[in-house]
Amino acid sequence: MRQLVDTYRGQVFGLCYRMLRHRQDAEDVTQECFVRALRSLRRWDNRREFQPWLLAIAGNRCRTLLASRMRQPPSSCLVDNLSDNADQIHEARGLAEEIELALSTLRAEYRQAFLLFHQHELSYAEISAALGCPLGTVKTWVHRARRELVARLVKRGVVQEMRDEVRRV
Amino acid sequence: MKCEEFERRLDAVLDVRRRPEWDVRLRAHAEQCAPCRRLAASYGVLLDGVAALPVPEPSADLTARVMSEMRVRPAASRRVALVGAVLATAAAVVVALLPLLPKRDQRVATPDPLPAYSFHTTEAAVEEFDWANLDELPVVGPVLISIRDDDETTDPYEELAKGTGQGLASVVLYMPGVAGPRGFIGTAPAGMRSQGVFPEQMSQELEPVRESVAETINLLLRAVPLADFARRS
Repeated sequence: MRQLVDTYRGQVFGLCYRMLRHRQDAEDVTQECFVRALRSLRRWDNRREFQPWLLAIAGNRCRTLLASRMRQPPSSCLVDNLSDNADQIHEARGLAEEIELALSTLRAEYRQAFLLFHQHELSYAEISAALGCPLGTVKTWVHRARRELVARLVKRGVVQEMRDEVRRV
Repeated sequence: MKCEEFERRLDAVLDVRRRPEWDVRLRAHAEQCAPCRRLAASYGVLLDGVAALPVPEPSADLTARVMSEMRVRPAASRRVALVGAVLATAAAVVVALLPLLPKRDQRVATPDPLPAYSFHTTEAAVEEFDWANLDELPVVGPVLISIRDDDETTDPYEELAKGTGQGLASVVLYMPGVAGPRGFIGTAPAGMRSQGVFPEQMSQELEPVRESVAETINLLLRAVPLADFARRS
């Protein structure tokens, strides 16, 4: 079990961190995810890929936490606040920071699908099976995520000005 | 190729993890269309940026903490064995006492009764129940049972609730005079927000998973001592 945790802890934490943008929450969800997964191992269908299953648990726990955050009064310590003010663009620390900020504006399911596809390189079929969603839905989420991210980067002036050309999502 | 088709094809190309510039048709259109050229370039910036994002590292002691928690919490099967001996008695007592419990708030209106479900369980269902997560249930009142299902199909507890895999976004089971985080009957407890899900609607949503939900209700009623409900409320 220890080896299993060591093998996947980086991936799981990476997903949780990108979903939540909060280190301590990401640590807590990662820990919870592993405990849940390890406890459920005997019921795991070993014909399924382990990594998508594990990442789906992690992503879903993050979505649960994000939903509970939405129900709570806003707190500035939960996530970094975003600014649409062009004067503050220079405060962002380059493209990586801007992408992180843009990711945090996505709907949780879009973010989860996007990260699983583009960062963890799962296939649409794997994501679909792991999340229990139709494949077409997953595709739609990823497409919308990409468009919203690009639109956000354009709006923030990170990529070349093309506001008129980016089609509305 | 028109610009709308360019965008669709761009999605299709990215879906198979190819670079847009490798696609002949995209390249041909982009060479003649500056907006589409910039659009493709923007996607390239985004995806290159995502690929280059720094990989955050968890704390060094994460593995140790996971292993420690696995040791501290007894495994489900062992806990089932401990709980199993008192299940039948506890269920009988709890169900019998429910109507006699004092109202938490006398101003709470008496709701219409929910359809009566027949509560029964099986050894297999008990065995499958995820006891480890019982502590995390958002129990907020003496007779509130809240089942939250966030599409986590891999979670055995939620699979139990979901039953047929219909993909319910959330399920809150109501009992008379109680309130929950995703809806309420009567008055919600202080600090809780209602989202206006009402019994009739819930009943319809629950219909496809009636048996599994009934099993879950039964398991919860049996598993959580009455004193625990009182302590948590």
